[in-house]
Amino acid sequence: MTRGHGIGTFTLAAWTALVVLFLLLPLFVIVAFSFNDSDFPSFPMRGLTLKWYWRFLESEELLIALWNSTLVAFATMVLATTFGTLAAIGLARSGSRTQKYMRPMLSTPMMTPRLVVGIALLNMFNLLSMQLSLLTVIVGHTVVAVPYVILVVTARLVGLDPRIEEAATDLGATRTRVIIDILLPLLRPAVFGSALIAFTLSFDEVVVTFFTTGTENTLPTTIWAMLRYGITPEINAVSTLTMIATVALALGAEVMIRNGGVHRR
Amino acid sequence: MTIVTGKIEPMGTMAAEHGLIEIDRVRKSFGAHAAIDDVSLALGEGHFVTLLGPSGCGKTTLLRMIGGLETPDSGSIRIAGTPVASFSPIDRPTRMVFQSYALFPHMTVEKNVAYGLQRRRMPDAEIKTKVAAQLEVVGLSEKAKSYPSELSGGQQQRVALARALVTKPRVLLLDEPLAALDLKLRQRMQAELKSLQRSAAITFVYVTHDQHEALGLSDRVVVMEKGRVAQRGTPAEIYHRPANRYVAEFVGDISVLDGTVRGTADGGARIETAAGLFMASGPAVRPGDKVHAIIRPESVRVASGDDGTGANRLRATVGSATFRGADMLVEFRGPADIRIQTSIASTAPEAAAITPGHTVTLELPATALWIIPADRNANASESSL
Repeated sequence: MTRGHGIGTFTLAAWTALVVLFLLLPLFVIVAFSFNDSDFPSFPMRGLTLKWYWRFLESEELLIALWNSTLVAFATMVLATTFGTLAAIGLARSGSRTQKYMRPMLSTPMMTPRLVVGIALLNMFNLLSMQLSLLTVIVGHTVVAVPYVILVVTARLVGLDPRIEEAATDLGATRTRVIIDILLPLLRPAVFGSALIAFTLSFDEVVVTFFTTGTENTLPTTIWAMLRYGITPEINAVSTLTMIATVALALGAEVMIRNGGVHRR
Repeated sequence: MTIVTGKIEPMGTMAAEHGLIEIDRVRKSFGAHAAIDDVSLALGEGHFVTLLGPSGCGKTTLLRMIGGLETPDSGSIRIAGTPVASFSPIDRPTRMVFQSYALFPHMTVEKNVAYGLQRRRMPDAEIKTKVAAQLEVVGLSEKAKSYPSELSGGQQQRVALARALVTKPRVLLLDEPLAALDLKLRQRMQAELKSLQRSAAITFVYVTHDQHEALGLSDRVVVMEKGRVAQRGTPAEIYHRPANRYVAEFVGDISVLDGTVRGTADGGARIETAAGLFMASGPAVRPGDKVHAIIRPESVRVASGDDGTGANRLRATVGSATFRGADMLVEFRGPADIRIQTSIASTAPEAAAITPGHTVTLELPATALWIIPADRNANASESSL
C-alpha cells in the first residue's frame, strides 16, 4: 500500500467520522440532558438523575398522550398494512397500463408535503361534517402510511416467481386460496416489516395529527405544545424513550424485510 | 437414442389418430407478436408428445394454453371433447410441471405434494397414504420433511413431478423440465421421465428446444417454427423424412444437394445436380421441380475403389475432420463446391485414409437421400443459424 493511498484512506475515515458525528450528536445531547440533574439544558452536567423519567411517569397529560399515540399507531398499522398489502397484490396482478397509472397515484400521499396532506384531510373532514377526533387522526395516518406498505410489499412481490402462484392454481386452488396459502406466507416478512414501518410513521407523526385531531393529543403534539415553555429535561426524557422505541421498531422492520429470503418455518 | 439408419419406417397416421387433445385453428398474440399463428393439432392419448422448436417458436405458449394458463385469442382447445376453459380448477385433466419447478418454498416436500389433494378435499388419512406412495415412486421418501431449498435441482424436479402426478391427471404438461439440470443428471431424468410416463400410462406433452431429448423421449414430435407447426410425426419420420429444410436442419446435421427433377420413379425421383444425376426418395414431385436432396452424415458411405461415376456416387476431397470419440465428423468437398458431411466410426478401416486433401468416392444411397421441395424453405436459411 502506498503512502498516498494511506493518506486518502485516513481522510475518508476522518470525513466519515465527521458525518456520523454530525448526524448523531444532537441525539446524544438529548439523551445526555435527559439524565442531567439540572432544570436547564446546559453544560457542564451537574450530575446524573432519573427524576425526569419519573416526572414523565407521574404526568397524567403525557401518559394519556402516550396511550393515544399507541392506540392511533396500532390502528394505523392494522389498517394501512391490510389496505397496502391487498393493493400491492392487486396491482401486481393487473395489466401493465393499470400499473403505469395506478402506481404513481397510490404513492402521491408519500410525495406530497405532509402540510398539504393535513390541510387536504381537514378540508375533507369538514366537508363530510366529521367530528375531529382520534378516529380522524387514524384515517389521516393511514393515508400517509399506505404508500409505504405498498412499496415494501411490492418489492417482495416482484421477487416472487409468478409460476408459484400458477402452480397453486394449476393444482386446483381458487384465487382466495392462492392468497391465503401461497402469497401471504411468502409475503409475511414484507407484511410484518411494513406493519412496523406504519406503526413508527404514525407514532412520530406531527403535522397531519396537528390538522386532524380534535381535543385529544398524541405524544408528539403534546411535546410540541410543551415546547412553548422551552425545552425542559422532561421533554428530553420523553424524546429519549420515543427514540429508543422507534429505533427498535425500525430495526425490527429492517431485519424482517431483509431476512425474507430464507424460506423456513 | 437409436436411429435406424437407411431404413424408413412406414409413414405414421397421426392425422387419423383419435385426439385426446384437439387444438383447432388456435391463434394467440402478445401485443403485435403472433406467438401462435393458426395451429391445429390432434394429440393422441397415452403418447409422449414433444413440442420441439427454438426459443420464441410458440411451444411454451401452446403448452400453457392446453393447461388453461393462457387463453387463445381465437380457435378452440378441447380435451376429451370438453373445451379447456369450461373445466373447473379441480376437474381440469391437465397438470403442469414448470421449468423453474415452482415449488412452494414455505412448505415441506410432503406438503407440496399434498397440496393438490387437499384442494380436492380428500380425507387426511388418504392424502397421507397417497403422498407417501407418490414420494416412493420418485424416490424421495426420506426427504418428505425437507424444504425445497434443502434439495438439489434433480430432487426438486422430482418433487414437482410427484406434486403433479399424485393428483392423477390425464395429461401432464412439462415445460422444459430438465433445462436447468446438468448433462449427466438430465440424461438420467430423461430415462426416469420415460419410465414414469409408461408406468403411469398418461399423456405427456413435453416442451423442449433440445432435439436429442425430443427424438429420444417421444412417441410423437411436433416441430414448431414461428408460431406454426412445421411438421409432426414419429421421431424417425421427423429425422429421416423431414417435410422441409427447417425441420431437417433443426433435428440434426444434413448435407444438401440442390437440383432439378429429371424423372420420377416409384417412391423417388432422379435429380440432376451440379455433381451429376442422383436417385433420391421422397414425396411425389414432378419433372422440372427445383428440389433439395438432403442426407444425414451417418448415411453417407465412403465407397471402395476410385470410380466416382457409378450410381449415386461422387468424388470428394477431405476438407476437415473433427474427432468426436466414437466417430469422426468429416466434411468433404465435391464438385461445384458441394459440401458433404460424413460420420465415420473411429474404428472403421477407412478412418485411417481420412487426411485433409485426400480424395475418395462417396456413395449417397438412394434410400437415404431425401427430397425436399425447394419452395418450402423460403425462410429456413435465416432461422436455422
